[in-house]
Amino acid sequence: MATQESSSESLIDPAITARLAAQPLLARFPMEGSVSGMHRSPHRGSSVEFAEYRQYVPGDDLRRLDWRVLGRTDRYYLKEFEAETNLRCYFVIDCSGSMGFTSGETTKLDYAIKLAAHLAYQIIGQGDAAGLVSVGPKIITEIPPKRTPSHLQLILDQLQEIRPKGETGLAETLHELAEKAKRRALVLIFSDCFTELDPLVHSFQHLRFQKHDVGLFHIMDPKELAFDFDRPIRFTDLESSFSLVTEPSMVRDAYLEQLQQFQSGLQKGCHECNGDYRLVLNHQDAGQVLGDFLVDRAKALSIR
Amino acid sequence: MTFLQPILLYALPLILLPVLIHLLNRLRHRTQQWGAMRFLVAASRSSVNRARLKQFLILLFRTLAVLMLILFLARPLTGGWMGWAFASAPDTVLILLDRSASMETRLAGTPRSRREQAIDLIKSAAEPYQGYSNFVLIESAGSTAQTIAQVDQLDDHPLAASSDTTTDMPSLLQRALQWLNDNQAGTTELWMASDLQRSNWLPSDDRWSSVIQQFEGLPQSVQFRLLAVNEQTETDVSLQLADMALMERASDTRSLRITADLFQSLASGEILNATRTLNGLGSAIEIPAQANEIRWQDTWDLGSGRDQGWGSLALAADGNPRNNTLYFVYGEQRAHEAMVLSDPSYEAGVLTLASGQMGPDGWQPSRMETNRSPSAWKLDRVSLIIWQGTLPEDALASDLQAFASSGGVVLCLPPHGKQDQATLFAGARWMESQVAAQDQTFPVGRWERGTGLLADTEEGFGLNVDQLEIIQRKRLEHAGKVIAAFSDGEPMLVQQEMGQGSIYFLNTLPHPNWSSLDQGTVLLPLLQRARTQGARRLEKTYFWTCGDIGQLELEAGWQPIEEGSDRSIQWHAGIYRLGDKLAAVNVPDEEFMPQLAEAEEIRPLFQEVSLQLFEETSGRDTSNLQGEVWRVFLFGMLIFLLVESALMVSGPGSTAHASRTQRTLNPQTKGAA
Repeated sequence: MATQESSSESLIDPAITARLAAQPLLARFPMEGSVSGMHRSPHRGSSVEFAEYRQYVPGDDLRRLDWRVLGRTDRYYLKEFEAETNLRCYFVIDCSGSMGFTSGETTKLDYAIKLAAHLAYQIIGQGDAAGLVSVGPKIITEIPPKRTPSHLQLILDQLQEIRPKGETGLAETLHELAEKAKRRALVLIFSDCFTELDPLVHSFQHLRFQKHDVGLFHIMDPKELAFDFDRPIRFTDLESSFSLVTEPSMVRDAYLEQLQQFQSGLQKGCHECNGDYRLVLNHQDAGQVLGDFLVDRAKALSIR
Repeated sequence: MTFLQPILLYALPLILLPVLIHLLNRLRHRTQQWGAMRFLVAASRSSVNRARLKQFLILLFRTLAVLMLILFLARPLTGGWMGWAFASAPDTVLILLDRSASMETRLAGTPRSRREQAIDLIKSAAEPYQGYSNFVLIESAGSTAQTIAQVDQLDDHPLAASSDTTTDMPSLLQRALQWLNDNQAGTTELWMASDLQRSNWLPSDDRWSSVIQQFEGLPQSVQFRLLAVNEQTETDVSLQLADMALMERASDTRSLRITADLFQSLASGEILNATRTLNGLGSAIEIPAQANEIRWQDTWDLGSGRDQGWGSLALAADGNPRNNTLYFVYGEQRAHEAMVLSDPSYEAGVLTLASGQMGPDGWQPSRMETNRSPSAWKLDRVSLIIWQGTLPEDALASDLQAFASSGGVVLCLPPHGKQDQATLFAGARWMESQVAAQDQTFPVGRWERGTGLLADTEEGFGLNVDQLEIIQRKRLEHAGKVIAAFSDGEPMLVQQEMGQGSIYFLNTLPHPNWSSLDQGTVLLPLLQRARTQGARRLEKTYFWTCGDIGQLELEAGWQPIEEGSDRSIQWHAGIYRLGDKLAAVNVPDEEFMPQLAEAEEIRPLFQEVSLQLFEETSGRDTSNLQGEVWRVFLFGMLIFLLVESALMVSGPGSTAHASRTQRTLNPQTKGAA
């Protein structure tokens, strides 16, 4: 986690931003922005991208009639073009106690903040709007998406204030967000998802139902995946006062099985609602992870 | 199941060690903050039963491994199929080798003796066990046990060489039993290599049953194998000295009359050639041999001059070279007398009279000396000193002890009177006097009737020691051997061996106020025997039997009379010299009794103990044998450890499985389409 003293600039690593500069973050689905931008819009607009011909109906603006077609065939047709609009992106960061875990130096929450900060920089840099929601047992901070550069500073300042504490109310928050965000948006979730699987998947579906683009950064610690302890250990819950003494070798197999079940369930739930799932470890290179993320999105878009 | 090292079973509580370590390990847990608690809780709920079972099994196998280790170290013995299956080669093979003179008889048609044949048999029998079993040789001549590293080199072993001794099979077995007890050997086979000579095996001896019963009582399996070498042998003639007498003749010349017994295994009816050697000068003589057993007598003129000498009579070589020669030494018969050191008194008179001897003028009482200064004594002919009074001290004591050490006998009697003396002499001291109650005596409870001063006569009559009426005695503190004791356990006559002789303590006096010893029925033979026993001090020539020579003499440094001979007085017959003393060592009488016992006659002696003839090599008798089964426990331990480690690395929580699971959990950087 970033220390109190560090400035907001320390969240942004120039090496990473330089690496990401060439590849904008693109929405995979049409977005509803307020201004024109680089993302597809569900509406017809005035871009150079031809969309379709449509028969004239009374009330249509006569200026948009295709006069060539009319002259040649004596029929009233309108020539429609794709609209391009800007993107609204919500960064949802899980600040539950379990996100404070690390077996190395960077906690999962610090890592999440780092990813979010760089993506926010990228998004505002490309003229899109970024907002922030940090989730504890309920919503702790909520910054609506805006596209001004000063807004980035606000987001970065807020990111630095985040501390891991208590249980997570991620699913409820996502439901709330799905209802609250009137326009289509990109929702990027940074969490270890240590909560009930079904409500979480439902919340993803709710988001998708509201036509939001969902991306999940499932952040884990290598120790949580390997569970390679040898001696008997008293495990103390980071989210409550509960503790458990156990012989790791005894439960290891079942633990890993449970974890795998959860992870595959989460991945499947994510895919079912066209979400973008990626498992990342808090010791991975953030630049690499983000670069891959952007490139993968662009590739998916070009295939589409 | 029994154990050779049962004390190690006290270590059995150690089997709880793995459990203790496990519990201690659990107490040593550390604390870890943990985020993925929901999976951990679910995992511990779902897997705890399986993991507990596995943990329990691991602990069980560790405990069993420790148990097996302890049992293995305690060296268990068991019978039945286990004992048979796991004890194919015996741990120890005790070779009981008969190396008596009769074992040197050559087998018919071969140049090999029975002993050499026996060693060959042992070597061939040992071949399959070489490297598995521990071979220990106990030979008959010295009864020493020695480990044999290479059985195939037994021919050259000094303890397997020929000897002129005899074999006492029951005592040889007793020695083997002692070795087994001392060394706690495991499964043991005893190989007895012998010619089954009846005089060696003594089938009617009482000791057999007790020895065999002790073998039966051994915890480990013991099996006897009899390597009998009683095949047909070459004809043999043996010569045994029956008597030798030195006769004075007129004109100061002496002659020697030799009586010898001659045994032939096959009567030849011929005249046998023999070599007579007298003080180193040999001459040929002829002995007529018409019958199987003849007694032959010859008188040899010794001339005048030498008062002692030696000689031998040897037959030509035949089937057994060991019993062809008889050896003798002769010397002047020395008169010996007793000396009483006492103040004149009634009992001193009795003692001089009883220790006297027949002279030319009738019975001569022995000399009485009142002067207690050794320089005044003339000990040239004295073999017995009777000391009555307070025990000697200082120089006087050492002089008397030196007298005894040189072969003489000292008999100490208590001082007259009731004063207690605390002087210590030869480990003994007189304590207070004890007087029997009115009309009561101190009855004698037991005395040694086999040998010694109170032994029964040659005719088998006992001395009337129990009829002695003893009314006064002095209590005696001693460190010697009790020859006679009162019914209440107090000693009456005690022998303290001193060098070649002895010092005796008799704690009553031949006086009417003390005892009825003065009547002479016990005192006379006692003193006469003591005087004769002490005569050894004056002797210069000895007749000994090979193999029956005291340890002191063996260590005294006797050398064979022939220069450069490699004979040893311990094992070989011959003439030996030590200073001006001469000793003739002859082959024991038992070796002149050629009768052999049959193997079937030997078998009942072993009662329930398994006895196998050498020829019956097929299969071991396992009906009730106790075999060492430590191998089972060693294998058991290894198997348990293997299973334990297999459990550790496999099944739930194993490394292999974990790594597989981990691979599937590796972050997939490829995003979902």
